[in-house]
Amino acid sequence: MQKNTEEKIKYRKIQRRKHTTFVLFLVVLLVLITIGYASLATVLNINGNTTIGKVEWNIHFQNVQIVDNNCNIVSGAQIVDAEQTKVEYTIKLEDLDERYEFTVDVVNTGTLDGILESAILGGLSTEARKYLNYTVTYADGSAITNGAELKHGEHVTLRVIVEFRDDLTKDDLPTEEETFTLTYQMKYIQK
Amino acid sequence: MKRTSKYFVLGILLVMGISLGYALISSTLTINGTASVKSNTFSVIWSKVEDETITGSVGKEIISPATISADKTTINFSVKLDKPGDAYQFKAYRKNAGSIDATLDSTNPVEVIGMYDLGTTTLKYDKIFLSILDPTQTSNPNTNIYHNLTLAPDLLANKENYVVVKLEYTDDLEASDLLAEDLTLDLSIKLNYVQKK
Repeated sequence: MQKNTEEKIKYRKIQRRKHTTFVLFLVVLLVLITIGYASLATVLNINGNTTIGKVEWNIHFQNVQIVDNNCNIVSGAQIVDAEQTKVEYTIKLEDLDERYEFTVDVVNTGTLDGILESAILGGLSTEARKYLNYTVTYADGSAITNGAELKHGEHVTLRVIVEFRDDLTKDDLPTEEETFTLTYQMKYIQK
Repeated sequence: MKRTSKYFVLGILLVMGISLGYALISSTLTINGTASVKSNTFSVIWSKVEDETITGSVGKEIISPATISADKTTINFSVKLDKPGDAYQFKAYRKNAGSIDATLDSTNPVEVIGMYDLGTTTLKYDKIFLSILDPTQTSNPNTNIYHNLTLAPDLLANKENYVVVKLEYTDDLEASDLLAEDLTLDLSIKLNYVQKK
């Protein structure tokens, strides 16, 4: 009886050894298969070093110069915001020979060239246009046109004039005091 | 004693007789085969770079032109995109120089490293667009990183075609999008080819 038990134990040991050998064989086989598969793969590389340059976009007003202040000036033309993109003024024109004129530079201190996408003059009613002139031109009097370039590092000077027209008839004149908010908006985009 | 010896001799003769008898009725079956295995190679390489161009502002620059490495598995380049609207591109010819058909790995065909902040999906700079295009396939590169290579993933033995690699600094941006300092992107584009099953 005891002999039989010892033989069984011996038999199991042999079986276990066989299993272990088989498992090891499988592992080795798997490793070989993996190596075999990996050897049939290729990675094609593209390595790039790209530097993106720092860029600054900065077009703003600068250097307001009053040319003619022959009128009642409540507050003279001046740049009013930190970004220097707004000029404001408040005047009263009381006599027909009164006018207000100033110049202001538009400067491009950024690194990108700009182009004028739009320039819109506003604030005068049809009625008011009969007796009031409100114009914005370049300093030499030439018209400002869309598409005008403003390269980086360069500037242009604008001339702003508010005055009574000199071809008035008595019917054109206002009968009551009127207040206008005159605007001029320039939109620059990257060239 | 004599009787014992007789039995012993008789026993030996009997065993010999059985062995002889067994040998006489046995056969040996043999299969002899000759198998030859054809030599094969698996080789997918970059074969050439053509039409390298950079367009846009004055400050744009190809610092180091796209060049294929000695082992023909890597293309290296270095460029500067100075202003919005600058763009750089080249044609990279891929060739299956082996005898085994190849295809892009279906689980991981193309990898792009270097466009994102490390360990995140946040683009280092979302105004740069990278595309890797197979010109024979349709494309719609409306994302920062785009490729259409999986539309035709196979590269059969002895075949060659090209992809167009393009980097573009978009000009569709606001003032707040602009960089205060130069930014360097070290890009790595990997095309993972495996044997076509």
